[in-house]
Amino acid sequence: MVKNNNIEINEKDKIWEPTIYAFLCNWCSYEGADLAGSSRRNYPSNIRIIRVPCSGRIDPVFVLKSFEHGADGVLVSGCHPGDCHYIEGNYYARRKFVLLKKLLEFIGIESERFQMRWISASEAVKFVDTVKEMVEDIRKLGPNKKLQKQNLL
Amino acid sequence: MNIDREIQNRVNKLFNENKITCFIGYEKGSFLYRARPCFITRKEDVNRLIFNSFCINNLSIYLINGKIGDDTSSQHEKFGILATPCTLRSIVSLLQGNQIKAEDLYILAVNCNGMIDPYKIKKLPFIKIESIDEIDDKIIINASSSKIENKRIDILYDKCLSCTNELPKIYNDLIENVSIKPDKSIDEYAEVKEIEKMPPDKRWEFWEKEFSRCIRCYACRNVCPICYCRECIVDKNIPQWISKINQSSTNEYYNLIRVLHVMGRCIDCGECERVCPAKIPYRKLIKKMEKEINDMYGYKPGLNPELSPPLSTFKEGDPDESIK
Ligand code: SF4
Ligand code: SF4
Ligand code: SF4
Ligand code: FES
Repeated sequence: MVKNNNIEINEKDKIWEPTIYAFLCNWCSYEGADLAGSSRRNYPSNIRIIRVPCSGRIDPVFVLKSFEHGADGVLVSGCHPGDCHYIEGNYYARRKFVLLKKLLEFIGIESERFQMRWISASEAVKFVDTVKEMVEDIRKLGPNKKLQKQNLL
Repeated sequence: MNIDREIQNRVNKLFNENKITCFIGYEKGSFLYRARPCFITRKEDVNRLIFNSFCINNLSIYLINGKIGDDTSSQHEKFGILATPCTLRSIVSLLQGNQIKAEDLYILAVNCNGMIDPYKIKKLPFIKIESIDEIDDKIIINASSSKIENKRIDILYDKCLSCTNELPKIYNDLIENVSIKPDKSIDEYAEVKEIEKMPPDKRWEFWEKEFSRCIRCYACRNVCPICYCRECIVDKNIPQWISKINQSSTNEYYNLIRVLHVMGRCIDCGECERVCPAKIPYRKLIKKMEKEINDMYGYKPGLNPELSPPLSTFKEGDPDESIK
């Protein structure tokens, strides 16, 4: 079955840039990204940040939906274990996403495409490095065609 | 011991003692190699009850789709249920999820000898069957012109081959039946490991092909005792999480979501795979998650109603090598 015809066009391949959806917890990782910005650190613009109240708020369904809507990679990031603003949200999230990653790998999604990270409000450098690393890894893999919605036209 | 009679006697007694108003069990199906779920509400009907190697349905589904979970009407109903290990383990999951109350239920457990998959018996639909005898480890099908002898082990459902036959101690009464000993030489995760060995693209190819057949009939969801949501994510319109369009991406999406929803509570009764008209090997996904959960959190679903399912709890030291 041919998927996403518009990605198959050769010209588009040349200018293809990975798109990464990032679900960031408001209290740590989003602050970390904010700090990266306010301290004028550069990071690739391939990332689309979605702010969520806590990593525990992120449903694995969001990740699948992101891939369906054309993400080449998805990043989920929250406070370090023990630091969650709501005490235990990230502990639940950890179980969910460790299992989600196993499932995605099992059906053949490359493991680089879905990443989970702990990034605190002061770790602007870690955030920048994570984004750079992910963009590079995914650039090597090429556009994601798995799980993606087909163009019906 | 005639197991049918034994069940009938005990259920009769339950009616006499006013312990139940409805008993959920099995009766003869339209073919000799079929049994179907039945609801006995009168003492006179008790003799319809049977139990043999064709009682595959997981009866616990009727506890949630029927009146028992519904507070408005459960007041007068007291259900009894015949529970094979599969049914019993899903009852444990339902108890954990607060979907049923143990007090409302009388569980008559029965050991299981493995259930027979009619599709594995050759020539079955083409002969006129007069009777089916189960003798030790043989199943003998007497047809008008011939006699087909099968070894039980060759025609069991896949899930039965690696079953541990464990009965969680939540039943009110037990009928001891011959029960198969689990065959330790069978690796229940063999098929999972086979897929794990493939390179990612091959794995994707495999699953994409399988999922592309899904016709989104939702039979797998409807038959699953763990899929008890009043409003399933696929039925939601605002926001619409899953498009109703039947294309391979939405099929993949649906099937993966269902795995994510049932993992940790699914007891591998295999019903979803059995009813799937597209023969999607759903159990491979289920087994994969079961294996990971067991490896990482040391949890096997459906054995102890006191424990929380693995995704509703956590430990501080949970493994997280994949998270940096
Ligand atoms: S698929 Fe998910 S939302 Fe739907 S009934 Fe099953 S558990 Fe509930
Ligand atoms: S997901 Fe399938 S195997 Fe698991 S409990 Fe539901 S019907 Fe049974
Ligand atoms: S039973 Fe099979 S075909 Fe029907 S929705 Fe489930 S997976 Fe798809
Ligand atoms: S508040 Fe950051 S993970 Fe919970």
